[in-house]
Amino acid sequence: MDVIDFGANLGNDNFDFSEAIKAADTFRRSTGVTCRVVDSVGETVYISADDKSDVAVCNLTAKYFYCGSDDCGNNETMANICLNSHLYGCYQSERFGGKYVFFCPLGLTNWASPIVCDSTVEGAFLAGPVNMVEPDEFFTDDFLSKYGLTHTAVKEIEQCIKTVPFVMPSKVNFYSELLYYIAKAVSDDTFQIIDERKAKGEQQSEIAEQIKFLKSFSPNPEYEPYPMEKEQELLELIETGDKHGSQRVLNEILGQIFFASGGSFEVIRSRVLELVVLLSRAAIKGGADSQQIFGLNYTYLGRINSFKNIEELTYWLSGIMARFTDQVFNLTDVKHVDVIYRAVDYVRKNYDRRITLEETAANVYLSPAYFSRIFKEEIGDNFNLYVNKIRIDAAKKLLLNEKIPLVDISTMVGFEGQSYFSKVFKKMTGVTPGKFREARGKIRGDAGARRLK
Amino acid sequence: MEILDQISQALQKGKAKDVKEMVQAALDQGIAAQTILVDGLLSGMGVVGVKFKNNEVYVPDVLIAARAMKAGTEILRPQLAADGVKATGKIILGTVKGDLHDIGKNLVGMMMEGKGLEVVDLGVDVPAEKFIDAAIEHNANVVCCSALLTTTMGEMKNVVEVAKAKGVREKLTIMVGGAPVNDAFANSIGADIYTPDAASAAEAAVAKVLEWNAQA
Repeated sequence: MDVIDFGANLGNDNFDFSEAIKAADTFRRSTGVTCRVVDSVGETVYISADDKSDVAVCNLTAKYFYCGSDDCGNNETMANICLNSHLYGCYQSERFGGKYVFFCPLGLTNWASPIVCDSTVEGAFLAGPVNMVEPDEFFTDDFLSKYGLTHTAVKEIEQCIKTVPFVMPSKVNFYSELLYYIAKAVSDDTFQIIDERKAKGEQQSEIAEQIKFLKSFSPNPEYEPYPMEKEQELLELIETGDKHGSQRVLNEILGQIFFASGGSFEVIRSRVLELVVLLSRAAIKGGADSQQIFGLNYTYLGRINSFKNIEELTYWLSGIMARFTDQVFNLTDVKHVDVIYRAVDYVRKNYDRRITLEETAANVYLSPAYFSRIFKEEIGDNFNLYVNKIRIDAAKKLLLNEKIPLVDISTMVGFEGQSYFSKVFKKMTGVTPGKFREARGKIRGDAGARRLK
Repeated sequence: MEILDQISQALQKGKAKDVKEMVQAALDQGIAAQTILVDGLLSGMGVVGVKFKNNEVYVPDVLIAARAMKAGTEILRPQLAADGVKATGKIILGTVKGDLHDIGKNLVGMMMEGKGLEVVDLGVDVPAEKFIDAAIEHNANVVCCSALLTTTMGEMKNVVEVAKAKGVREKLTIMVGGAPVNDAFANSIGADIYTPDAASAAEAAVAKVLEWNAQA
C-alpha cells in the first residue's frame, strides 16, 4: 500500500515521541547541529540545542517579523513562513526518499527526515540551521528588505547569523544521511515505503538519463530498432545471477523502450510483458526451479494490468527480475554442479513431507557422509537447516492466508509436530507463527534483535 | 576568455559573492550578457551537474552552486532584457508536480524575460490545475511545462487534460520541455510544441505570443 498520510494526524496524542527525542539529543551531541522533532503539522515537539544561542537567529527573526495585525504585506507572520518552510522540508523528505536538504527563508541550510509509523508520517526530524558558506560570503539577498525591516533589524539579524555554525557541504550531505538512518530506526518497518520511493525515483532517474543519451544521437525515435543485443546481454547477466549488472542493463532497455514509444503506456506495458517472459526463460536456463518460475509468472502476469503508471510498472519489473535472478544458482562456482542442482531440486519438491539426508543422498547416488559434506561446502548450510529454511519460507506464505488453519500449517510444510514447528519458526523469524500471522507479516525490527541475545 | 573561466570555477565552489563581482566585471569589460551566461555560469553549472551524477558532489554542493548561479544571473538580468527583441505578452512557466528540478526552468524564464516577455513563474512541483488557473487569471496564452523525471511527464498530460476540461484548450499554446521529453511524447499527449533547450523555448514562445497578439 503506497499511501502515506501526511498532515492528517492532528493532535498527535497517540504517537510516542520519546524515542525520537532521545535520538534528537544524540544527533545534536555527536554532530553539534541543532536538531528538532516536529509533528505531522510541523509544530516543534522538541528542540535539542546546546543553549538558547543555537536557535537565536530563528527567534530573532520571528521576533522582528511578528506582526499581530492584518497589515502585514502577505498576511503571514514570519513565524508562519518559517513554519511552512520546515513543514515543506519534512514533506519533501517523505516524498523524495527519506532525506531532504534545503535552504530556509533566511538562506540557512536545514535537512529533514520523516518518522513513519503504521504507514503514517507521524512527524519528522529537522536539523539545522547551519551555514554552508563562510560568514563573510553570506548575504540575505533582498529577502529581508522585501519584508520592510528597518536597517538596524537587518544588521542585527546579519550579526546573529554569524553565530550559526559553519559546516561544509560534503559534511552536510553525510549529516543528512545520518539523520535518515536515525529516522528509520525510530520508525517502524512501514518506513520501507520511503525506501521504495527512493528506489523508484532512482530507477526513473537512470531511465531518464538513458533517454537523454539516446536523444543526443537520434531525434527520430520511431526509427530506432528494438535493442536486441541489449536484450541478449540482459539474459546472459540473469543466467549468471548478476543482480547489479542486470538491473543496469534493464534500465537501459527500459529507457529505449520509453524513448521509442513516445511515452505510450500501452506500448510500454506490452514490451514489459514480453520482457517478463524472456526473463523467466533466462532464469530457468540459469538453473532456477521451473515450477517455481512458472508459478511466479502466473501470479506476476495477473498483476500486469493493475498498474496505472510507468513508474509502478518498471519498478515491479525490477522486482521480478531480482527475484528471478535470486532463484538462479551461480553454477560456474559450484564444483559439484549437477549433484547440488539435483539435490536442491529434490528438496524443493519434497520438503512438505518427511525428507532425510539419507534419502536425498541416495537420490543423487552418494553416501550420506560425503553428500552432507559437499552440501555444506556448496550451500553453506547443513542439510537439515536448509530444509527447515525452505519450510519456514513456505509456512510464512501460508500464514499470510487467513483461510488456512494454523494447526494445519506445520504438517503442510513437512514438520511432524506443532511444537517443533513453532520452535524452529520462532528461532528463524523471532516470533511465533501465531504472532506472525497476527502481525500480518510485519515484524518490528527490534523484536528480532532482542532475540539475538 | 579567462574571466568567464574564473566565473565558472567560482560558481562550482559556491562562491556567490565572487561570482557577482566577476559577472559585473565581465559586463564592464564589454562582454555580452548572453556570453557570460552561457560560457561562464551555465558552463560551471554543467560541470556541477556531471559531478553530481557521478556522485563526486552531493545535493548540498549543488545547492550552493545554484545559489551562486542565481546571484550571477540577477546581475545579468537587466542587461539580458536590454539586448533582445521586444515582444509583449505573458507566459506561465513551471515545473510539474512531483518534480523539483528548477535550474533549467529558471533559465528558460530568464531567456524569455530577455526577450521582453512577462514570465509568471509558478515554481516547482506545480499541479496541473494551477498552470491552467494561472493562465486564466493572467490572461496568458502560452503555458510552458518542464519535467525532468519520466514519472512526472504524466503530469504534463494532465495539464493538457485540465485545459480541455476547463474549456480553454483552444485559447492556449502548451509547450513542454525537459530531458526525457521529445516530439513524439509531446504529440502523444496533445501538447503543441516541444523545444529541446532554453534558447529555442524562448524563441518559440516569442513567436507564439506575437501570433496570439495579432489574433487579438
